[in-house]
Amino acid sequence: MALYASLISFRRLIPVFLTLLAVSAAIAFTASTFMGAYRTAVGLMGTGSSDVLLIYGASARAPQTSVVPLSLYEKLRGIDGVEAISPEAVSIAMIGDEVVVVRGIDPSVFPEISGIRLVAGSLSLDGSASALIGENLARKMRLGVGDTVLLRSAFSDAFLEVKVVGVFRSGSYLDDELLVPLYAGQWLRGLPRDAVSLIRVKIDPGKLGKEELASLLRSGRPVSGKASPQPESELMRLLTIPRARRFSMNYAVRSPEESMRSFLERQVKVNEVAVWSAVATVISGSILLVYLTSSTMIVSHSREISVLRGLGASRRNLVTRSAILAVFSSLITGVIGFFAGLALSNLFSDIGLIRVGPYSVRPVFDVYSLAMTLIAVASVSAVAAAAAVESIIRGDYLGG
Amino acid sequence: MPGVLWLAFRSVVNDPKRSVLYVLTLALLVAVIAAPMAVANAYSRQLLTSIPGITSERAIIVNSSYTPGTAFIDYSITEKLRAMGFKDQVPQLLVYARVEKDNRSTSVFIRGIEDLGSFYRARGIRVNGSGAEDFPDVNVGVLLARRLGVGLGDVIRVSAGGQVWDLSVTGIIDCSCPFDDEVLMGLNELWKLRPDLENKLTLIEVVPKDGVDLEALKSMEVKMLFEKPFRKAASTAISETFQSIKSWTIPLYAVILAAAYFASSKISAESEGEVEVLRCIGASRGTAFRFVFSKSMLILGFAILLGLSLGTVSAQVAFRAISTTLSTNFYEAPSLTPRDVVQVVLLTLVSSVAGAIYPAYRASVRKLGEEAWLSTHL
Repeated sequence: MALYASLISFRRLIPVFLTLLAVSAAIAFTASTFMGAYRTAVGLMGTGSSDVLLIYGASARAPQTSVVPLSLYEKLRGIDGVEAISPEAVSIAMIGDEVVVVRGIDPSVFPEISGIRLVAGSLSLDGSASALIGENLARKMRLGVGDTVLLRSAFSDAFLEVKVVGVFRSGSYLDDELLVPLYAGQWLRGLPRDAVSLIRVKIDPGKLGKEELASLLRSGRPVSGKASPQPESELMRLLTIPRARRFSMNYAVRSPEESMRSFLERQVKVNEVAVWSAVATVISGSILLVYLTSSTMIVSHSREISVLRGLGASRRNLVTRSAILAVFSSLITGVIGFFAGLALSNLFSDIGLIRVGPYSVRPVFDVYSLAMTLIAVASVSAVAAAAAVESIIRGDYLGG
Repeated sequence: MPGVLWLAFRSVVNDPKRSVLYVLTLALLVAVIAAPMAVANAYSRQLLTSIPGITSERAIIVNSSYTPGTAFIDYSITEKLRAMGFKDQVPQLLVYARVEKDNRSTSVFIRGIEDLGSFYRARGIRVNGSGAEDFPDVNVGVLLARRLGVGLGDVIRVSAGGQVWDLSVTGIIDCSCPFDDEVLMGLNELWKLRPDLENKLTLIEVVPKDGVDLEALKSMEVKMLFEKPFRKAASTAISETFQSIKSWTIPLYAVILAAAYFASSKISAESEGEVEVLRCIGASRGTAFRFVFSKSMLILGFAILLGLSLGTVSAQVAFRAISTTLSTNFYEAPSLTPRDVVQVVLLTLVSSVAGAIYPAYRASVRKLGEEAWLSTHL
């Protein structure tokens, strides 16, 4: 092997390495970008906490487009095992020509349930003229504490001027959103005061399960499981309507990820298989190039291989060593290319070239995509190298 | 040059096995770029077609350099707008203020509206109590009233612009709209409170007529923004998402560059004999370069044509299957826009020319009779 390695001209292999690196980077870039886009969409309602559930209309296309009565809030307060209740009104508004997702929240509950952390200003939403802005959105719109913006609702005739009182970070989709008090979200969504888009609840898994909660909501019976109901927040006291309408509707109770995954599968027909299909398309499209490159790598050493053959090296030995060389080269370039593709994907995300609607995509490092990249490039390279050695031994390249 | 091109073409077709390999290598990569672009176009068109036509009859006119709270427009502009045919104007001034009642306080907007009573009637806004046309009468929104514990006949203290006023609450509004958390009063009355903003407006709500002269508005240093811009918001979000697919294709051109380099290297190596014959019969190095480069470009041309077709056809097959499962009434066949085609062709050409020039150059400067030059050299 040492003799074989000493005959290799690494200068001649530079273009080969660069090409394999480019192919691996392209595959990794595709995998991390597409998987990142999918995971961003799936994580759009998530908080990273496993004991948070979403309650929304079962017939709604997505949790964000659902409408549920606020009377449900009262019912949830009385259920034993419900630790926090966060009603939300999700809307879309325009700031100038930019589309922004505006979420109406209860500021006394939402920061705790969503895990947002203050970056600048304050988390106190004092009235409809105040707003909290996610870090990514603040950077994109060049907004900071004290700035005011005009929100034009996409769903209603409401337009609202708000002053940014705080910048927050969550490490999730919320970093691309604007948070306003619940009632301001209702105006922008065009909802009456006794309706919201969805209710997020934090449960004590020891006392209450998802199925149990769904069954309690389905039953329609008044709930009397809790000795002292969850205290009503200041904002919810403002919104309470003495004779609030009571809707008869079916609710979906799901984890945030489950709800978005279900929406993507049912309505958009996108799942992880579709993402891997995109990666497979790039791999298929690059197969001939990898083949051509690896065979060139071997053929460029046809003289050396012919000499070794002349000195008595067996066909099997030459084929095996060439294949090992090809696999080794592709593994090294594959790993470097993978991380180069991941870095490129992060760069594209940072400069806003890869987005899902108004949300930035966080590229995903996926060990399966690394394995897929390496296996694809290495196996094609090995086959190409073996075939090239066979053709050299056959004499296809003799005499130039 | 045409003679060299013809020779190159003959050389390409005389070695179909290798030519097809190179064409396919490049075409597959072009197809990988073209197919997702075509699907993205179709998906985007399909979604745009299915967007419900929610529109508003109203718009707001604001200062063209609109910076909320600081950029105002002059009241005199209402006359000009009327002359341009804008009907039902509602001039408004918004002032950010601190409102206090007993020991409770909050920051809200005070909205001054011209002819408040007519505005309420036009919008169907219910007022518990009476309107607020005369100083120091004001109306407050129901949420603000609840927050501060304000009732009809109460006095609230308002601080803004370094001044403090005591205002009397004559009505409480409940409209499930932003007025629910504001203080409303007549425009003239607000100007009395803030003389520094006299004849200034924050915005004018209007019912725009057809064929608005946007240039005329620009010359007045104002701009018109439609309320309820659902279609625009949806189309912006859709185009941002599908633009990402086009952005994703950018790094793939680096792979095309590499493929073009390898294909051209192989082509130039395989053309050694032909180049030597050309040089022996008196062809210059430039002609030899053009011959090898033309061969690479012909291969590339075929690859682009094949790749674009392959990409579009495979996109149509895949998208038809998806659309069947989507049961959509708005099926749009995947296709590339002329702009996409130009972009793919141009970027592929640039990548390929960059990849092909050096191998062709090396082939042309090779000394005649140099035995050591194997056809397989890079």
